[in-house]
Amino acid sequence: MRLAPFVFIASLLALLAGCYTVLNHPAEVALTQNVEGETSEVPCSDCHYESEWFGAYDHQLIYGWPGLLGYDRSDWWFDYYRRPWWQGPYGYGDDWHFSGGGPEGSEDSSWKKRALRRGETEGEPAPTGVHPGGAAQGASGATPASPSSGSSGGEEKKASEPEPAHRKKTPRR
Amino acid sequence: MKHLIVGLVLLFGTAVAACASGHPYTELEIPVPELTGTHARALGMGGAHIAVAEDASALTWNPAGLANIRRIEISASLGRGDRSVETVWHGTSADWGEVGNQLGGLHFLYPFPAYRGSLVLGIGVDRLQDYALHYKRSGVDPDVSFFGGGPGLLTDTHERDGKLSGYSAAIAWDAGPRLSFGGTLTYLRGSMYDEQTFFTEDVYAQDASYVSFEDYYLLDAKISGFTATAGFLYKASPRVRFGGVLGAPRYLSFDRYELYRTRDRFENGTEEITYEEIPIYDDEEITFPYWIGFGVSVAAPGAIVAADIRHTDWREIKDEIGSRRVLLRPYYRDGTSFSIGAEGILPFAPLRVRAGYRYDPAPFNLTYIPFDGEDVIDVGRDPAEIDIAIDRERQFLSFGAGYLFDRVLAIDVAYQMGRLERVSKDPSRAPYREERSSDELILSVGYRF
Repeated sequence: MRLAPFVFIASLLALLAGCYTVLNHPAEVALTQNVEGETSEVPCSDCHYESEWFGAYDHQLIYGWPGLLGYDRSDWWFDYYRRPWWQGPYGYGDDWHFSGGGPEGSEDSSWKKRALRRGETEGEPAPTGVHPGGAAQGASGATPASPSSGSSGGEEKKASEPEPAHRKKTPRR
Repeated sequence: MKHLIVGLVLLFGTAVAACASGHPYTELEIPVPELTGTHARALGMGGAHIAVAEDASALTWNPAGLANIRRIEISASLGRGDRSVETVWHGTSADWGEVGNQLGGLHFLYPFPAYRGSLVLGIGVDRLQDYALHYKRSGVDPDVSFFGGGPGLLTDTHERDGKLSGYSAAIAWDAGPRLSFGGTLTYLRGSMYDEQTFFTEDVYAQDASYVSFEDYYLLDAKISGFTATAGFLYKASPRVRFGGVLGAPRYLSFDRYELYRTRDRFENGTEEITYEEIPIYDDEEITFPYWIGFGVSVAAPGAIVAADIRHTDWREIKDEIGSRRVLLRPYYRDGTSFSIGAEGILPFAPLRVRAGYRYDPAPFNLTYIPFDGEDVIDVGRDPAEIDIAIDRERQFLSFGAGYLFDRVLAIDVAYQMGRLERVSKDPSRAPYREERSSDELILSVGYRF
């Protein structure tokens, strides 16, 4: 196999380079909640209010890189080249889901499926995880410059930013 | 395929060597890997796509570009090529070309849903190389005696068909918020049908016995092999990207059937034909060298400008026939090509227009070789050979456009025209010049779910 050295070295370099991609949500974070006997998904915005997928002005502060927000969404080609297929058809600000845009709590929600695969069952109380009100995890996994962490830039932004319509403050037990 | 060369030198040498003074040594020119037009967007930008690739073209241009893809994609492309060669030999011109249609590629890309970063798999089949060649040279060498002490009309033709397809699997992922890596493994499979005819005719009716001599050589080969590429893409800012690609050697194995035939025609109307199958050598293995490429792209509002540079040391081509190595190094050269392209994104419609330019020096040093020269297969270049210099390096101009239907269906079209001119450094001893031209039209259709 004459390509073996090339493949070996390329694979080695790839391993050394590491991987930034995250395919699964952190297991310790609850993705479902039980409210008055009914199981529902935890709104992503509870934790990710300032993440790259939800209004995401802080993404620029964390990475110096605006993520998808750096693109002009009025561009004819935005959907074709930029919007993930697992995101809803109307992009940010919509109540999109990881499953591909189904309504919140819909049966095909892959977030729910992922949670169930981890051993949860519908109707059971979700395990307690990181509190949404705690130190929010940015898209990189690092503590983002959220208002609670004292970033002045973040505070200014948040203060001037209206609360997204999709954010739901569901009471929890 | 290089057995073709060996066969020609050995057989042609014994059959005709004593009769002719020389000819341009085109038989040594191997069809080397080229930037192919299997993706209209890339071709429309002159091939400047290493830092741009964000569709199935990434499979061949830069696999790291797959990490940019966020939607499931199925795409296909069709091509139409018109290639011709015009030669002038001993003051006589000949022109031969052909138009052909072909399936350029078929691809499927799947980006995994990711909470962060990107992981994309891609598979595809691409026509990586089109072996089609229609070459003809014809002329009377006044210094050579063929028939009864006089010259004859020499007509050499080289007709080749075939293709090389690549069945690729690729993966790309984000190694950082700005950095992506990718790799492609490609299994190569194809075929080649190659005919060369060397025809000498007694046009001046000088010989009492012979009318013409003909030497015919056939190569029918099945080709298999593999190669790989690895690349990176770095997003320096939302508007600036850098990319790099390293291409592994392209290894090809030729499983050949060969035939040599002579046909002598006589004044009395009869002819004598002799056939010889040539199982002289084992299968042939050709290894094309590593190549490396870098690209940069800058996106301004309403436009993208990109540039690529690629380097291949073609002198490193290795050709082994059985245990015998063909000395090709003197006939190939270092090659650095560059491309520059631009894409305009129109604001009033889902339409993009493109243009590009590519400077891509031909890797082959054509020479004019005397028939009574040495066997270059074993000893390398004959000192008596005369260079046929590049008069105008191979250059391509391209144009293209893409339209997006209903946010999911993109149709791209590109047109590329290329030219190459060679002229002898010593026209008195090697009276030859040639001009090669190619016109390609590519249509790509991509559907994103």
